[in-house]
Amino acid sequence: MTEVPIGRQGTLYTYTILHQAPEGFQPPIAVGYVDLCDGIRVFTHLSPPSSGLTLGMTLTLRLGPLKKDENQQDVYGPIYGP
Amino acid sequence: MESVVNLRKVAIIGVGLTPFDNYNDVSSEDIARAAVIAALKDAQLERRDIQYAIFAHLYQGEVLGQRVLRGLGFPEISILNLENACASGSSAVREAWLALAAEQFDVALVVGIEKMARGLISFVSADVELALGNVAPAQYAMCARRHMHEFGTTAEMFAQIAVKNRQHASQNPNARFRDLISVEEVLASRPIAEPITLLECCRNGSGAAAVVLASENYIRRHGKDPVWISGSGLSSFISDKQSLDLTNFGATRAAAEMAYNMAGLGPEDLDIVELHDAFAQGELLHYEGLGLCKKGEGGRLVHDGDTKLGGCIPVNLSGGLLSKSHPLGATGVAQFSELVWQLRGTAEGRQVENAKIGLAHSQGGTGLEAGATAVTILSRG
Repeated sequence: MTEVPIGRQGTLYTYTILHQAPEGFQPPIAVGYVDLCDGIRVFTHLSPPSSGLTLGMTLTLRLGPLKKDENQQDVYGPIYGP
Repeated sequence: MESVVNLRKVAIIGVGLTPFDNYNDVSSEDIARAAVIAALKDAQLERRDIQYAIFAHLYQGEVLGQRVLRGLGFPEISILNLENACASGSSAVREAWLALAAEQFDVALVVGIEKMARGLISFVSADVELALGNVAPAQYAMCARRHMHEFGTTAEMFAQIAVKNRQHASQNPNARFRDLISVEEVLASRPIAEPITLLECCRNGSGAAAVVLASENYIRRHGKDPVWISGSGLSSFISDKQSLDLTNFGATRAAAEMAYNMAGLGPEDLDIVELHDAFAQGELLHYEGLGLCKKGEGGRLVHDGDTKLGGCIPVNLSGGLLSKSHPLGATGVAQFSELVWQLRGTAEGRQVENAKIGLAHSQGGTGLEAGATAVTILSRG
């Protein structure tokens, strides 16, 4: 395993808005696959812009709360948004 | 892959089904026993005729098969309990076929059974995507969205699949949901994972299905009515999902290719198909994976009505998972009931005239490729 820098930008490959989610998540949540450099495609949470998500749009990586753990503490992870 | 041993011919000689429902007050053992008894009756066999039994399930605890058959007073017998996610039932049929084809036994029983509660299926998995919320409806929804983007497939086309399977179910007394629905109702039902709506999702269910398989020698000796297993394929891709093409079900393609090659047949030879429509969107993608049409043309197949009863390749005449519900271990085995009835010409109300060749497809797992897909081709006459 080696570390690979992925940059902050990605391109939206596909997405869904989940209205039924596993415990800890607060639906509705937006999730999708984002294409990064070097052909890497990752599953990630999304922060949809007010105009909505469009396949092919450029998104930027930030960190944010994804869900609550069993102690009701925020679990942070990657979120791609405008 | 060249076969290194000569496999002898194997056929299904009996099927049994307990219609899928809630069964809140019935034990999973008793649900399974009803299917076993029905399949033995259909095959006109006694308990002592069964030499090997495989039980497919996900959540019914250890040595389920032994518990079920002990309660029925079965004599000494070889029993295997098998789990392969939602493809457990079809994988079990494949294992029984192999054991008989390789001359280990002459008669085998396969039972698929599940008793389920409501809600999302929970998987014990270290899958990082699943931990982030990539549940089954999300996976199919993202495939569907990409398919719409690349090929112009519409939400109405997916909805038409749900409508079609209900039409088929309306003629199947074993189906759980038999009321007709319209495209408008499907699209207006509650969103689950956009673009998937409630009426495009299969429901959890409880129930059991059983099949009896026998070798050609046994069938000839005992004058049984065979539906032959002509081809079988099983595939799993365990990739890191780098650049995964979400419009392509690679494991479906691979399992289908194995089965077609073994049978010496192609998709153009099929008369009927029962496939894994856990979501209406999945059915369309599996049309393409099974080669019923070219990649990207699934929508056209729906639009032209090709997969309806009366079309050139009817799919899910039983009503599919969408209309029957999805008791995980039972689902893959139940597909064989419908195919056998169709190939025998006894599927009253939904019979495809002169059906000779059928295909069963079932698929499961956490992640679209890190799962299992089984394809079986059946033929008669």
